[in-house]
Amino acid sequence: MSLISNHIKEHLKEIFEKELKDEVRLVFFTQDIECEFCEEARELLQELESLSKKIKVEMYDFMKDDDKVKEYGIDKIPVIAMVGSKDYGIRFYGLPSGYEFSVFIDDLVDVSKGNSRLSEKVKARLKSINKPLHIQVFVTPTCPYCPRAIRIAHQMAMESDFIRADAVEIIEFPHLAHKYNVMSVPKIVINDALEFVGALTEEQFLEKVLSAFRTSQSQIYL
Amino acid sequence: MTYDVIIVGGASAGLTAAIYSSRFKLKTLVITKDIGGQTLLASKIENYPGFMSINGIELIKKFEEQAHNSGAKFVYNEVVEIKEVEDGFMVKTLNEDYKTKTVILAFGQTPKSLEIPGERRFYGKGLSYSAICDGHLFAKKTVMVVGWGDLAMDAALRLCDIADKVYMSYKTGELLGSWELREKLEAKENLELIPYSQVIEIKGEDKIESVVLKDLWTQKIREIKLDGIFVELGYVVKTDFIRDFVKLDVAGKIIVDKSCSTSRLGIFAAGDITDTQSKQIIISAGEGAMAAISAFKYIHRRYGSIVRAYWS
Repeated sequence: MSLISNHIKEHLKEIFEKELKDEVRLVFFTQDIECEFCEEARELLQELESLSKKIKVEMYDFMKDDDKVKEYGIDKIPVIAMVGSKDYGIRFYGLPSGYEFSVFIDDLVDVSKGNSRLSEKVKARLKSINKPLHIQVFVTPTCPYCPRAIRIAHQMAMESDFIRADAVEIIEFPHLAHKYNVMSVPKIVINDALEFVGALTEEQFLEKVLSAFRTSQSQIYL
Repeated sequence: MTYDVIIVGGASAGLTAAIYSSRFKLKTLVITKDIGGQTLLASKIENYPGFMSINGIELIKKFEEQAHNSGAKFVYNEVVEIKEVEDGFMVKTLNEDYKTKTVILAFGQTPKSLEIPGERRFYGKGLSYSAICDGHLFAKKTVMVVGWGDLAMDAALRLCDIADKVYMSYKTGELLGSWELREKLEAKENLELIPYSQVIEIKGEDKIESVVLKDLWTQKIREIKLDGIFVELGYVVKTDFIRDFVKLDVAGKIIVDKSCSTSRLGIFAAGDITDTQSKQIIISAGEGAMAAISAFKYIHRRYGSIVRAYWS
């Protein structure tokens, strides 16, 4: 039984035909045992791959493929790294189900075109970032405000070589819910230091990112 | 620059108004905190004409795309004041002011809060206004739902299947609303109902640790240790900032006539913010269109121009 209904498959085929420009690699990390949604994630990716010649799935083992794990900076699974003409730092941790699925598709299209949909003003201001910034967006599949937060974070990762952004399906990673005290979604954590809850606008999100950047700049490393 | 129409609110009413207004070639700006409103929370909508079944986010995405395609501009901010000035109105947000010939008020309803001191502090730290969004995060924990209607009962039902223990606190003696929901709740073993109770304090440091309730009959205080509180008290309209600007009814809703005009010339309103009876996505959308058409007619009457047939 397929994960994506035939009706949606037809719809996606049309979108991919019309919108995809360059090839997108879905780099998937899994392992043989102890991974609750690895199987579903793998199936979902393979179904997506079948819908367009421009979508290619690569699979690696989290335990065995050390060099790839390092290359993509992976620390937990299941994870999908969405790579276009370059690795923008876009990651999906956990199965992209529910509302996250349409985010996955929107991201796919953007990555394939190599172009985000952020406003020119926001794109310009992101250029001032010249130190690594790690954005984690904690979401659940049934949260309607989460997609927007992921989209903004991932698009920022596209616009800046210094930003990498993870969408993390928090129910699959309960230890992270505990670590970051996630009691409401979407919860955004930047550089493990600055955090906020709720879907902010592009401009407001940007202010948080710039604030985290300024804090990281002023840190003195002894 | 002076806009022709500024629309306050970007959900079903506002987005529809934006589509109509832009297609009339009116300079249209939508000022909104976020897009989608209450429609986003509906996972399955089966009574919006044209769609057998569609999810709220998908439907709003279509509205949004159409509004953008029609030429409407968007600014994401909060409107804090509207003043009448010469030849139009000044719409003030948190950082900028915008001049316009007309305004369409379509900012809908917001979840009612508990209104107790320190409430805001716990938002995202155990306090939530939506069990749909945040319920999952309280697996095996203890939570409380504050509210007595269908919204609260629905939330409690969801939470009973996720959390270890669920309390329901409400000021009334009985839960009000759907029989079906009430029956389903009665079957839940991990649910404790606390009628005639009012939340007077939330306690905790970095997150919620306990809640203090007062019994409205005996005045006795009861403190309950828990991890999360879901406020499901329904919705309110935040029209205080325009109280003296347009006529409001007793519930704070904007009084409109059949053309969605308010008591002030040049100001229109649509959607849940108005005093019209029923609240549905299609009704909000319909009013959005009506308000935009009225704004169009007003602009052409007042500022003179060739009146184009608006159905072409």
